[in-house]
Amino acid sequence: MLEIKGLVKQYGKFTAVDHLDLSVEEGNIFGFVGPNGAGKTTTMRIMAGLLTATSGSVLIDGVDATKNPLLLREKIGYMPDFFGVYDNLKVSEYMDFYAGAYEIPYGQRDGIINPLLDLVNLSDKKDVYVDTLSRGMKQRLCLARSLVHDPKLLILDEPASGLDPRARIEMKDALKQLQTLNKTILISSHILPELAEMCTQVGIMEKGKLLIQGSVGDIMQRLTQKRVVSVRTTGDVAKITYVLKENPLVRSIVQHQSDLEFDFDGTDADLADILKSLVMKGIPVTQFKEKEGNLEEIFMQVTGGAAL
Amino acid sequence: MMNPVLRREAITSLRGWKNFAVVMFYIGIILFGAGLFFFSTVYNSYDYSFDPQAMTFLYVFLASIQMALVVISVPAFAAGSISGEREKQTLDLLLVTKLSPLSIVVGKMLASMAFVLLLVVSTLPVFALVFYFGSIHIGSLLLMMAFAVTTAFMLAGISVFFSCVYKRTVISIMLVYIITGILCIGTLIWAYMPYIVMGYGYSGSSMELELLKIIPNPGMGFASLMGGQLGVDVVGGMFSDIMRWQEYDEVNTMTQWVIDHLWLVHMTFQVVVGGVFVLLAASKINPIGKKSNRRK
Repeated sequence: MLEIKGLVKQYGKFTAVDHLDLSVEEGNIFGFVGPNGAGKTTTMRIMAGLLTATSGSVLIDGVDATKNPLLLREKIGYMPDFFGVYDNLKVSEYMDFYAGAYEIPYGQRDGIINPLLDLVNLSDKKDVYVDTLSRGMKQRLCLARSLVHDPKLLILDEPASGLDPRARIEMKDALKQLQTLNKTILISSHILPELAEMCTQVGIMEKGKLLIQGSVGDIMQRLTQKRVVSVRTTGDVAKITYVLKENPLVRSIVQHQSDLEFDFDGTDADLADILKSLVMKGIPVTQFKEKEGNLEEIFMQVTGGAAL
Repeated sequence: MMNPVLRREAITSLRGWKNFAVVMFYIGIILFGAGLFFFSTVYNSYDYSFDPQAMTFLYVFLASIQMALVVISVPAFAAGSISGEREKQTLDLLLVTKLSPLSIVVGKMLASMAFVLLLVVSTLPVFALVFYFGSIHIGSLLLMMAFAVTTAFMLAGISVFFSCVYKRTVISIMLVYIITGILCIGTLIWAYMPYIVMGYGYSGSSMELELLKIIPNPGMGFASLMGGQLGVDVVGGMFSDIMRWQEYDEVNTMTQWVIDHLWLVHMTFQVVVGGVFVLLAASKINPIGKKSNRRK
């Protein structure tokens, strides 16, 4: 769906994006992570056709973003990090305006706008003026606006920035709905745990370079070369420690009250054997799961502790 | 399908009572002015006489007010059109739609002209006062309206261009008024400077050169139009010294045609200049094709 090769963007002597290569398959949610000034927004603006690249190519569903901007606009929906709304315009009129801007015939607009407002939970605000909406509602309205022409790729630049926790959850819910519609989504965010939960892939960017890309699990494994497993019991934690210590694939066991975590070098079958042996020893195991990678830890490790 | 930008601007600007109140207020002022003119000039209470010929002055008076409105108001509306979108952070959202930069610029320009032209059109019933006495032909009125439209087009085109170049609306408005001042007053001073410096009777210029200096002047174009409609040779009269010095047989047919139709030449100039600035404005906001973009 998205293929970026050797993308470079320079402003005079400053290089904002430095030979970026990126590939995102259809239906994936790709999370862009990086500190301020890493080049995320610049990359997204080039993809959206709002900036020209110094060199390199951006192919979106086979369309070269730099050579065919009109065709590109049919393929992408773009939500910038900062945007404004028009005064004196109602929510339904706002959506109708953008539907018109995407050349959607009048007769088809209601059939498109109403489901989109449902999707972002703004159906009851149809006749409300957009400038009176809360920031969270405006963000969701902008998301609905970016979907009005049914794009294949959504480029969302910090869609949850500046939102309170409730508004973030509502935005996240809307994005989860989009996942079910099989949209390819490129999303940048500072809220790392949320990205980790939603994204099928992440890319960590710093100083214009994409340092690492892949699924959170893959990256975690590549960086740490280990799996972290968590076990919870209602019984004696010491018994679990005893069983685990007998297994040569288990390393560094750390106890947290009734839970413990251990590093593990084996396969899924080896892990199943450990669970089996715990149960066979009569230990009441209430939870046994592999911990998902912590994006914050990965980020700090990859960028050497650069602040987000 | 109507230009979506123009449609949205129409919805937002005509909603509510404020603009309606402005239109009513403007019609009221024009009506009051026309009434005052009518009773002070046309109708002579001293000897209870009535001079229908003076209705032509009422027509010129009303037309002049319309032109002044266009020249003053259009830059004020248009100079903030694109920079306003940028200030509101809505320009990027427009640029990623299927609207071309040209249709965005045209939509914004037409929207900024529309309200002023609405004011102009809304006062047409006041012009009926003139027609009642039959002094002016309806074709003349339509020509005057067309002149107002082309003037608005040129000024809106220049304004929208500056609005694309400068991020701040205030700078755009200032520059457009400076250019309007140069066109309306600067060109006149330029054309008259030799007379001011050398005194009347100066004959070191040619009619062709003087015409080139005043063709961009909306005031001269308008004066030429009014003169033509009332049978007064405004342009020839202005440069009578040169006309005398430059023997009539030296003033070729083409020059004479321009002297007689300066308003038409000026209208063509307005359309061309307005069009060029609109195209420049569109290329200015087109994100693709620029050699370099400023860092956000």
